[in-house]
Amino acid sequence: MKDSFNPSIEPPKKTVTLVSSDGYDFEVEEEVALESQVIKDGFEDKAVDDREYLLFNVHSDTLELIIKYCEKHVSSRKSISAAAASSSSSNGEEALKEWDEHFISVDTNTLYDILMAADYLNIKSLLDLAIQKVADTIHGRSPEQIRKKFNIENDSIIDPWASE
Amino acid sequence: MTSSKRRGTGRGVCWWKFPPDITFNIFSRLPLQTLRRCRRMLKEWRIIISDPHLINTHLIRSSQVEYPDILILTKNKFYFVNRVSSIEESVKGFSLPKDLKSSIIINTCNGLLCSHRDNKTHVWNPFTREVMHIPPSRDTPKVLGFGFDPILNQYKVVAFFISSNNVEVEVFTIGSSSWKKVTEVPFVPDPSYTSVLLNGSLHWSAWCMRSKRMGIGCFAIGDEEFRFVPLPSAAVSVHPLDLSVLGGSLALAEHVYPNRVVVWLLKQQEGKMTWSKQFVLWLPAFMSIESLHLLYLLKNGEIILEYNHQKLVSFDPQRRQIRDIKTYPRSFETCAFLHVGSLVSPIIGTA
Repeated sequence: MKDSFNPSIEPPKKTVTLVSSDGYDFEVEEEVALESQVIKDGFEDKAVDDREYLLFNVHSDTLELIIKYCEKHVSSRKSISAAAASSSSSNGEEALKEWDEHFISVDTNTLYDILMAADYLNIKSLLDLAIQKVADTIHGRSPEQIRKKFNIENDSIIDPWASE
Repeated sequence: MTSSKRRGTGRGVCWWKFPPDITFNIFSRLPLQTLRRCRRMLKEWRIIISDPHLINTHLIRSSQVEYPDILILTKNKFYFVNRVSSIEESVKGFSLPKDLKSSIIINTCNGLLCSHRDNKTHVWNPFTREVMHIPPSRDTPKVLGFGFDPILNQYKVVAFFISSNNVEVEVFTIGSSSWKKVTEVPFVPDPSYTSVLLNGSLHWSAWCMRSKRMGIGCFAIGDEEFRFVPLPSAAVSVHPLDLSVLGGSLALAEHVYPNRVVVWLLKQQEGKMTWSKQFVLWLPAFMSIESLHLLYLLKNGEIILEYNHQKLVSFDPQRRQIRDIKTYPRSFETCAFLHVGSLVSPIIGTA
């Protein structure tokens, strides 16, 4: 590795291991894992050598997506602040928004998993993104369409509060 | 990164069964129209949509919009004019519920509307169509007001009984069972104008008995205290007195013949209420200033006003351009109100 010849350059990045509910290990950079407020809080409490987190509520499929999201956000933040520091124009935020939009355009089951994982891991921006996506999915749809889309059984109750 | 296998599809997840705080968060982002629909779909959803916190979250958001919603009431119909002056502006008409036809509208507040006919007062939500019937007062009131106190979270109807030598006031708190007398009334409100609600107080153009002057009579919904503010001394003509709320302050539109409207704002300065002359509107010659009611001041300076009891228009003071928004049959019962759509129930009376 180049770094070993010049130790004044950044040391190798610290990593942590996230273990999914179905037993898969994901090794990620520390700063990526710290996007989760829950991991961050746990990190501050833990002994330094313990770098493994068991995420009982997050399946590997979902965890993979969550990590992808956090990695993108960590790297985008860096390039946005670098662009701001050199006062060069950047459409970083716009591009990240677009990326988010694309990222969250998934089927309803995946959306559910992402939302629940973002809630469990307390990743505020992702939770916001997922909740907004659910809201957008419901918005403007007829009750029939909502039922179909979200697989809600027709146990509709009679509403004494007026008809449309 | 370790790769993983796809799961089987038959997971049996009721994916819409989010924890209540997440459902709450989703619903707080949806428009009322959609919520009204969702409320009928699932019991779990209905419970959350009836939650006073959710209703309040929506209320706060509806009150902060850039383009207002206006409600127009005619004899038999009501119209919602949504997002006035925005590119999404739309008008929808509905017929009035039977027992609310030909009523006089007292006021609107937090999406609730108070109307009166034949000594029957109703508070209703035109959006959810819930109606609350207020018990009749001892007599037919000459002037009524309806307002909300955000601290006590109470809605009240105020009734003035005016005789040639006396004025008495009774108050009905929504959720209570009877009218209550309030004493020491210092002013007589002008029955030809509706009241204006601002910061938990109702305001009328009124005659102060003690000082024998015209001015603004105020009634605080919370502590039920009366107050009187004289008119700006520099005002030339003070009739008719058109009151409204512009940019968060009480506004008085002084109509100066033939085509000038001077707008005064009442502001609190060092604990004292003082008038300041805000701007002057020069109307096109064909507009009669007598039947003008200012409703809203948009950020771009445009003014939304009701004209001649038959038209909702937008007026651009810089270009002196008028745009018709909605025309309706002319009648004196007809009036336009600033309105926020809400799910507030008049029956529970909580915001």
